[in-house]
Amino acid sequence: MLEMKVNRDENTLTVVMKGVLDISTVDDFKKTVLGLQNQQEFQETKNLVFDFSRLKFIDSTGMGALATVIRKIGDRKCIQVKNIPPDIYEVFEILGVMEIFDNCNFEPMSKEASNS
Amino acid sequence: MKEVTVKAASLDEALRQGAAQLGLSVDEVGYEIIQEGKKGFLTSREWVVRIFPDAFKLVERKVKEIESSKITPPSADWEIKEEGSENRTGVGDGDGPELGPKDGHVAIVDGEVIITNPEPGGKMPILAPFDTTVEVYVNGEKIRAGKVVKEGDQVRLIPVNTVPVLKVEVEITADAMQAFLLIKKQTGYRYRIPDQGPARLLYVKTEVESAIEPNPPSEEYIHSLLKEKGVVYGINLDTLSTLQQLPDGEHKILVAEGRPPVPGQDATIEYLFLQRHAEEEKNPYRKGFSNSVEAGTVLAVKNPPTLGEKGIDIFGRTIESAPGKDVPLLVGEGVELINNGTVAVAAVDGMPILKGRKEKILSVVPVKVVEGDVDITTGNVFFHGSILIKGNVLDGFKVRATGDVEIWGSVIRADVYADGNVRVGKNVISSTVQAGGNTIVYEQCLPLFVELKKNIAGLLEVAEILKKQPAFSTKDLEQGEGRLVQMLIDLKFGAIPRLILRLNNLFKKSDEEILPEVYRVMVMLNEKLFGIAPLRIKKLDDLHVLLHNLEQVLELVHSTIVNKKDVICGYAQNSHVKASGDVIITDRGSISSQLDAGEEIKIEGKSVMRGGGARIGKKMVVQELGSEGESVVKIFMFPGSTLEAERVYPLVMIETPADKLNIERPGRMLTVNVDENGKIKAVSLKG
Repeated sequence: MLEMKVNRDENTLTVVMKGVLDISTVDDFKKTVLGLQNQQEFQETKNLVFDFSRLKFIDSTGMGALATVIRKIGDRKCIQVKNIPPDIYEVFEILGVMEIFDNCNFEPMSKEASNS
Repeated sequence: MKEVTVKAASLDEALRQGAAQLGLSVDEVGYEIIQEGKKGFLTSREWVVRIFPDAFKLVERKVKEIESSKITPPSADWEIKEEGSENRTGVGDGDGPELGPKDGHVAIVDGEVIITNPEPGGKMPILAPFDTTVEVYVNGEKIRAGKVVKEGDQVRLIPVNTVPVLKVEVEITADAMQAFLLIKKQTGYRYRIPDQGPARLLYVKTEVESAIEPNPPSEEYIHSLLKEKGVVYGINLDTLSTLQQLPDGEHKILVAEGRPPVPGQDATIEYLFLQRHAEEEKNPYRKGFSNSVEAGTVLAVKNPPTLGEKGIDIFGRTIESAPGKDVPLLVGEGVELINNGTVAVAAVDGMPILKGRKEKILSVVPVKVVEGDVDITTGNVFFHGSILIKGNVLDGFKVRATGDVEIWGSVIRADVYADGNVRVGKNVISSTVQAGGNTIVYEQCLPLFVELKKNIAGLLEVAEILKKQPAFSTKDLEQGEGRLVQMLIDLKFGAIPRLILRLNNLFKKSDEEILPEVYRVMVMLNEKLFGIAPLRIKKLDDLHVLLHNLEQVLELVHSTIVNKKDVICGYAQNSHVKASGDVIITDRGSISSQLDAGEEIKIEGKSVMRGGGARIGKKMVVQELGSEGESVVKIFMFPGSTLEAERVYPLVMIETPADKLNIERPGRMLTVNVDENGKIKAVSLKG
């Protein structure tokens, strides 16, 4: 299951993700995010933020989908993935995601938040 | 003595403040500049000045006070001449104020102080110690600065002698291999007071009567010091005799030294048949050929490893030495080991060969001898070993050998291939002759294979780590682990498909046969890791198998490159001559032939290349390239190669992977250098 909520705040469009990003949800994920491109909100904002705070896990298909999305949108938007839970952040580190997409910003979840 | 350090904006200001703090006037102080100030536009620096009472000026003041208050009223000649106030430091005889005719004075004769009071109107004599080597007592009171004296004063002068000092300590290095004596030496001095004066202001000086060297420590004492520290080995006190001559100060002298361990020598193997080979190499016609041996010949001898020598530290403790490593003498077919595996002997008649990269394996391959021509009577000659043909190789016949091939006659319309060297005594006409494998293409592909291996190993490592991550779901991999591989290639290992593509292109372009092992691994790479193939991978184990195969191919490719083999012949015409090492034409040049060499092409004797062409791995040297008759010569030069020709004619076309050069008119002394990227970087040619 993956629930996605899109919020707009001035110059920033935030996609809050709750659930898992895996083979069962990647199609939804791609459709929702790539679908944003046609909306007015997307044209009007500068930043695109993915809030991963409630993401439980990811698999290779999900990882591939995230890469696809970043490659398709990254040159037009300032992309930020924030509140990445420690476990998932470790996966990102192993894959060297931060180096590969050095034009994006990856922020781990703060310690206090991850403990609660 | 009292002194102050003052900071101020100017030197004058500093002097004024300092003098005030000392309760003196500016002309009664001396000073030393610690930091010069600076006035800048934006920044400025303060003056820092150390200020102290000037002994000489103070004495002057005292004199003034005394004389003005007690003895005589001020008079016309009262004023003291200020002489050389800048260099007041060397005060002494004659430096004091001038002795007026009426002035009192003081002198030292035979150690006795003789004081003479002034006549009326004259000034009082003053006595002061010059430095700390003398103590001056006036009426039982020790004086430090100048004191006015008069006749009848009890004056005592005591020279202050210094005591000789010699301190000795033992220092031991952390590795316990050396002990040093740390010596602090100071010579003592005995002073006497020479005759001086008369002067109105007399600074009592001393002179050295004798220097007293400290007693050098006895050997027994030093032995006891060393013993105290536990030093028992390697003591050498020879240097102690020089102690007497040491200048004052601190010194460090080596007195004991351990013996470091000597590591053992690794075993070495001498291949005796190679040494003979080297001697023969002086004769180019014999280069690398037919060094056949008879059964029983000693081929190699192993020098066993040595244990090395134990060391000992200065505490007498043994230090183990590292023994040398053993190296096995490895032998294959046709060789027997005797004497506990230290001597290798040929078991059969044949040719000794050494194969392998890291571990060399010695074997003797048999030699087949064909007494006459290879023709319809012998048929094709294929032999696992080396072949010696005493006649020619004729009309459409083939010769193949896993060792060397030596042909005393010519090769005419025939085909000769050897894994080893090929020597043709006479000519190669309308034939193909090849020695060694296709090293040129393998040299190009080796770095790509190495890079590919690194990437695949890296991918497998990351895959294993990822699978263990709690936040990384592996559910989708149940249908096949290809998704994971695809994602990793997509994200992190994009180099893998790129490298495979480059290898594909390399082998496609090369018109040569490639080794079956290499072919197989290229098929696997394309089936597993190229394009969308990774998605079809079921298990990561497939990649482990691929990696294993790749490693074997790497070893094989490497040994092919290392295994440089040469072709030598007298003359080449309408032929293709290929060698992984050198192609050497000894007699009448290359006519309408293609010469390919992984290393060098040397055309000796009548040195010409007319028509045909060459592929140069490293270097080609020829006198005449092309001809007046305008024959086309196509030269291909690999990166890093060089071409030298004394005379060159039009229609010579030079090509590199990234460049081209056509010779349009005759010239002399052509030199062409190709850089690592395949660009022609330097050409010199005289018209």
